[in-house]
Amino acid sequence: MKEHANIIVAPRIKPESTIGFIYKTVLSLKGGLMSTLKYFFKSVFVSTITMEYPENKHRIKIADRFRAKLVLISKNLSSPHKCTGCKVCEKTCPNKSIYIMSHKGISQKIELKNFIWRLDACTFCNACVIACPFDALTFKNNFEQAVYDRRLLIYNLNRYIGPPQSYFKKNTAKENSVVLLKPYEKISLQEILGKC
Amino acid sequence: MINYSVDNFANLVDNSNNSTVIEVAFYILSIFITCLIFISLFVMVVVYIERKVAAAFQCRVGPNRVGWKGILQSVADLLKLLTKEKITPLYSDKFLHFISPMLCISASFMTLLIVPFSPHIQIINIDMGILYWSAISSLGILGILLAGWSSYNKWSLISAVRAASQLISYELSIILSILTMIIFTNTLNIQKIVLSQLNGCWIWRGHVVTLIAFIIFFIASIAELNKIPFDLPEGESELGAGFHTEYSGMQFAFFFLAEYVNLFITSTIIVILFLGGWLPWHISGFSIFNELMDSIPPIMWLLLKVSMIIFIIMWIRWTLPRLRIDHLILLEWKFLLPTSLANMVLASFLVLNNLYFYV
Repeated sequence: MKEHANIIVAPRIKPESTIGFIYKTVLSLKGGLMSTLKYFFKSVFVSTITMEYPENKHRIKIADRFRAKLVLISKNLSSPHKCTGCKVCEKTCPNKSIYIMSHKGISQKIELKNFIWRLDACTFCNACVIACPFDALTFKNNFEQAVYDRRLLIYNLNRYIGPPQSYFKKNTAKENSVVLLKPYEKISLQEILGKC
Repeated sequence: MINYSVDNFANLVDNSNNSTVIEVAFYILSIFITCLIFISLFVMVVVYIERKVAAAFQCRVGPNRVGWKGILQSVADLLKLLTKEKITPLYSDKFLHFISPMLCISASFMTLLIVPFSPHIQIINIDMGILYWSAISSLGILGILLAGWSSYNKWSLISAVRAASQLISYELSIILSILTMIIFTNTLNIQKIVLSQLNGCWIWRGHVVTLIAFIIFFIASIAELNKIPFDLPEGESELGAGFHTEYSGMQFAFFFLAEYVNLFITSTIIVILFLGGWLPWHISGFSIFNELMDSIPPIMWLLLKVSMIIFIIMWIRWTLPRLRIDHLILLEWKFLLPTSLANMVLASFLVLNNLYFYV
C-alpha cells in the first residue's frame, strides 16, 4: 500500500442551533430598530441634519477646502499678484479651461496680461493650483456662482497688469507700483473660445 | 362596564322588507361615495405622515414647502397624478392592462365593508367577517398578476410572479394565526370578536400563545402588504418599479391607493384580533383612569390603535434591508409555518382546559 500524504481538512464552521440563530436574529433586529428609533426622536425633538439653504444663508458654513472659484492670490483684483505668466497651469489643465495672455511688460520680462478661466469647462480638479510654481493660484469656497447667461461664466481673474510681487521686493521704488496699475483691455469672446 | 349594543347600516334595509330598488341603489351608492371620500382623505393623510416619519427616521426634514409644514403636499401630488397622461405600451394586452388596476382597487374597497369603526359604524356585519376579509384581500393579487402579465415587460412579469409566490406562501401563516385566534374567540363575526375582549385584549390573555400568533400575523401581513423588508415585487434596484412600471397617471394612482387601503385594513384586522378593536384600554383598579378612557369615543380608539400599528410598520420599513427571494420563502416554509401549526395545537390545549386569563 502506498503511503498517503497528510490530508489537511479545512475547518468547517459548525452549523448553529435553531434557537441560537433565532436569539441572534432577534438581538440584531432589536439593535437596528432601537438605533433608528433614536434617530427618530432626535430629529423630532432636537434637530435634523438637513440644511435648508435659502433660509440659512447667513449662518451657512462651507468647508474652507471646498473648490468653487479659482482666484489669483492678491489683496484685491487690482493689486499685484504672484503670477509671472509662465503658462504652467494652462498646460496642466486637463480640459483647457485656462487661457493665459501675456506680454513683455515694464520689467523687460514676460508679464501676465489676462488670466482667463472658464468655469463652465472647469472640473475643479485642483491640478492648476498644485502645478503653479509660484503658489499664485487657489480655490475659494464662495459657491453661489449661478448666472443667467453662460457667457458670464468666462472669468478674467486679474485687473492688475504688470510685474509680479517678487519684482517689487527687488525694486522698492514706490512710484513703480503706482504707475503700473492700468485698467484691463476688453477681449472679444471669439478670441477666447478659439483658444480654450 | 358600558353595555355596547352592536348595530349597523345594513339592518336599516333588511328590516324594511318593502324597500324599492331605487332605495337599495341609493343606499349602495351612498356607501360607495362614503368609502371613496374616507379612503381618499385617509390615504392623503397617511402618505403625508409616512413621508414625514420616513424623513424623521433618516434625520431629514421631509415635505415642507407646500402649505404649512408641507401639509398640502399630498394634494399637490394627487393633482399631478390626475393631470398626467395615461400611457399604454404598444405590444401590451390592452384590455388586461386597462382592468388590472381596477381589480386591485375594487378588492381593497370590498374589504372595507366589514371594518368596524365603532359598535354602530360598520357597513355590513356579516357572520363570517374574518373569512370574508381573508378571501377578498387575496383577490388583489389577481390585479397585480394581470398587471405584470399584460405590461409586455419582463421586469413587471418577474415582479408579478414574485408577488404571487409571496402571497401564496404568507397567506398560510395569516390563516393559521387567524384560526388560532378563532379558537379563543369562538366566532367569525368581527363585532363579536371585538366584544369577546371586554375583559382584556387577547394579546395579554393567552399567555405566550397569542403573543406568538400576533408576531407571526404581523410578519406575514407585512409580507402581504409588499412592504420593506418583504418588498420584492417593488425592488427598485432589481425591477425598476415592479408590476406598476408601465402604468402612469390615474392607473398608477389606483395601485398606490390600493396599497394604502390594504395597509389600513390589515392594521385594522390586527387591532381587532389582538388589541381589542374599538374597545378602550383599561387598567384594573384605576377607576378614574378607566372612566377617562371610556369617555374617548370608540372610533378614536380604533384609529389610535391602527395608527400605532401603521407607525410600527413604517418603523420596520425604514430600518431593515430587503430580504432575498429564497430567504423570504425559507422564512415562511421552514420557520413561520411550523411555528404557527404548533402554536395552534397549544392554543387548542389552552382553550380546552380553560387556562387563559379572565375566562
